[in-house]
Parts: sequence; C-alpha cells; structure tokens
Amino acid sequence: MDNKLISSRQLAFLIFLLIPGSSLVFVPGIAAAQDAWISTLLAAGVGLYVLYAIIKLHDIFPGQKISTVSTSVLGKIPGTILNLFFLWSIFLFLLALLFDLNMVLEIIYPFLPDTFSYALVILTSAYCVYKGLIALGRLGELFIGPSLLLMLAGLLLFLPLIDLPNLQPVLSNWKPVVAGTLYVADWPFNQIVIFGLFLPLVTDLSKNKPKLYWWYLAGGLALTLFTMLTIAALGVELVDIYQFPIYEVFRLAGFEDFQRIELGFFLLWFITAITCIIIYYQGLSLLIQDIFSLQHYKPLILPLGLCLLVFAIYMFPNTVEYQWLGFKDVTVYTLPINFLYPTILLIAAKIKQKRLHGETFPITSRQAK
Amino acid sequence: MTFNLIYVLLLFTALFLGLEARNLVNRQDFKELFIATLLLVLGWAYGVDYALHYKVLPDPQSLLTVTRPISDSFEQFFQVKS
Repeated sequence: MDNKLISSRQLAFLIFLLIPGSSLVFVPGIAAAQDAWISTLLAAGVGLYVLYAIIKLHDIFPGQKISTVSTSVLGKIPGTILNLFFLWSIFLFLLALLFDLNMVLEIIYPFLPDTFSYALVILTSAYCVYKGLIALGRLGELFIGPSLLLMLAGLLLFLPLIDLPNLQPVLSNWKPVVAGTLYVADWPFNQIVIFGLFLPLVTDLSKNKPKLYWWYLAGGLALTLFTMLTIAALGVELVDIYQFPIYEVFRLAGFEDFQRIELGFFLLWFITAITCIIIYYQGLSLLIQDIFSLQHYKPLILPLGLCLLVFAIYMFPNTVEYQWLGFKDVTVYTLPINFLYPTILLIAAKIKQKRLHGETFPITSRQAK
Repeated sequence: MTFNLIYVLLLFTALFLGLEARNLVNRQDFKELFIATLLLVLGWAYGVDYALHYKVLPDPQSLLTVTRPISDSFEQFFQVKS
C-alpha cells in the first residue's frame, strides 16, 4: 500500500499558511522598529536555509523523517537527546500558538472561559489530527484560496492608511535590525523545520521541490508586506503599544459606510492559526511516536491535547507572563535548536554519505542502520 | 477556573477512555497505552496543581527563565526596547 499521504502542492500550501498563520496579528520584527520589514526580509533567508536543509536531508535519506535521520546519523543516544530538545522546542511553540489564538478568540468571545476556548481549539485540532495527514493536506488546499483572497483584500485596505515617513529613517542603526532579524528568523521562519517530519509522507517531492521554495517565499513576502504596511499605517510607537497591531490597522480601515471590517478578517486569522496548530500538533504526535518507537500515534492525540491545554494555562497564565516568556525567553531556546537541529544533521549526513559512497548517492534505510 | 479545568480534564480523559483505551488493551499495544497514560498523568498532575493552587510541582517556567541572563544581555547589546 502506498504510504505517501499528501501531495507536494498541498505541502507547499501548508508552508505558505504556516508563515503568516503563526505570526497572526503581530508584527514579529518590531524589535527593529521602523526597519522591521527589512528584518523580516533578511530573516526569510534564514528560514530558506532551514527549508533547504530539511529537503536536502530528505534527499540523502529518502523516506525517513528528520527524527529518524537524527538517530541514524548520530547514533541512538545522541540522536534521541537531540530529538528531545527538538520536541521541547515544538511543544513550546505550540503552546505559544495556542495562547495567541486564545487571545484573539477572547476579542470575539470575551465571556468564554479560557479553559473552554483552549479545549475547543484543541479538540477541533485533535479531530483533524485523528483524520490524518490526508485531511491536513486537504485542509491546506481548502484554506489557501480564502487566505490569499483575504490577505490581498487586507493589503488593499491598508493602502489608504499608509504614511511612508513612518518607515524612515531606513537602517539608521544596525543593531536593532540584527535583533529583529533573529527574532523573526525564530518566529515564524525557522518553524518551517517541522516539515522535516512530513517530507517522507509527500508524493512527487523530487519533481516539485521548487514549488515548496516558491510558496515559502510567497509567505515571506506576505509577512514582509503586512509588516511594512502596518508600521507605515500606525507608526512604530503605536505598533509597539498595541497588543495586536495588524488587527488595529483593520479596525482603522474601511470605506464609505463600511466600518468594523476587521470582524471579517477573523476568518483569515482563525483559519491560518488553526492550520498552524494542526501542523504542529500532527508533528508533535509523529515525533513522540518516533522517539518512543511506537506503532501508532493516534492513541497519543487526546492525552497530548490534555497536556497542551494544561501547560498552556500553567505556563502562560496571563498576557504579561506570556510576553516575558514567549517573546524573551522562548526565543533564546528555540532559535538555536530549530537552526542547529537540521544543520548538525545535514553536516553529519554529508560526512556519513561520503564515508559510505565517496559520492553523493542517497542512503537507504538499511545502510543508515 | 478551578472547576472549569477539572471538567475539561474529565472530558479529555473520558474521550480517551471511550475512543482509545479499550482498543489499546484489546490490541495489546501496552507501550502506546503506557505513554498515553504517562501523558494523561502529567496533564492531570499539573492541571490539579494549577486548579487547586497547590503549586507543589516544579514550575516548567523555570526551564525557560534559566536563559534570562542571555536574553537580557542580548537585548542590551542589540538595543532592543522591551
């Protein structure tokens, strides 16, 4: 039976949805002030390298997940240790995503207790993870159209509000730009590493690799444009003050008698965010399955959901603590892990490949052992 | 929050028992059952600890705040406004 589950086109859509979806209504590069868009553009390069690394690893070890490659090239114990670091990184990012979506849902449902909104989001995602990767791929295909349409509409609505002097001076100080680049590289671009767990389950990957890169770049471009236009519309001070700057721009936007159009864009934020959560939930389940060498991951879905719910409430009980932990401390951990994890594996895989073949042939799973 | 969280914990556990536990026992997938139970126990322990304000379990935040000096010096060097 063919165990390939999603097409490369569906994967490309998921890559696109992951980038704006995980940053949601925030401006991730605001540390660079008015140069945040430059930071976003530069950081896209870092994510592009991570995407290249996971695809290259899959070329060397066809049919193997990145976590399996880790134990194959580094050995059982060092590989598992590295996988555990990666697991904690994914777990933290998923908690942050849940908290972000919960904050946005609080705007629409202010009286719904946090616990129930978390439970609703997790159970919805769990249902999709139960349905498997095929459902996730189809979800990507289903959501890409409305997402692109709403993003385009959003960009057009931003245009009357922009005030270009808000983007000046350009590159007045390089230090915040570097900081901003590192922050954006971590969140959302390096999060692309999660697809290293999905690549073996993709059909026709060898022919359609450029598609993945193009959709990744499209996601990066969308994020850069939204960052640029949000800062141009609001100015750095307001972007810094507002909790959800992009949402605030939509609140300002409107034409003729049409006001409060931001409510229409909740659909965009919700579908992109829930897609990210499902991608990460699925990835986390696959990773745990791999670490503990389990036959099935489905029995873990609900217990894992319970853990996610409890830890999201426990670790981020309020917005202030989330801002401290999520934007300050988590980055210090996830940035090096998500960057070094594929890098170390790629270097080790190249060394192993040369030792085995002296050339650049793929390594089969039997040879890897 | 106290009872809400307990209800949600019960809901997830009931769903797991109804949908998965029996199949796992029938199929004799004891490894999967063990890992799933471990995750449930972890969730319940932290859930009850939080809901009833016991605060006796190690705080997972401390795993993150250990890097605070690095993030502080990073922000200072790169002139990041907090």
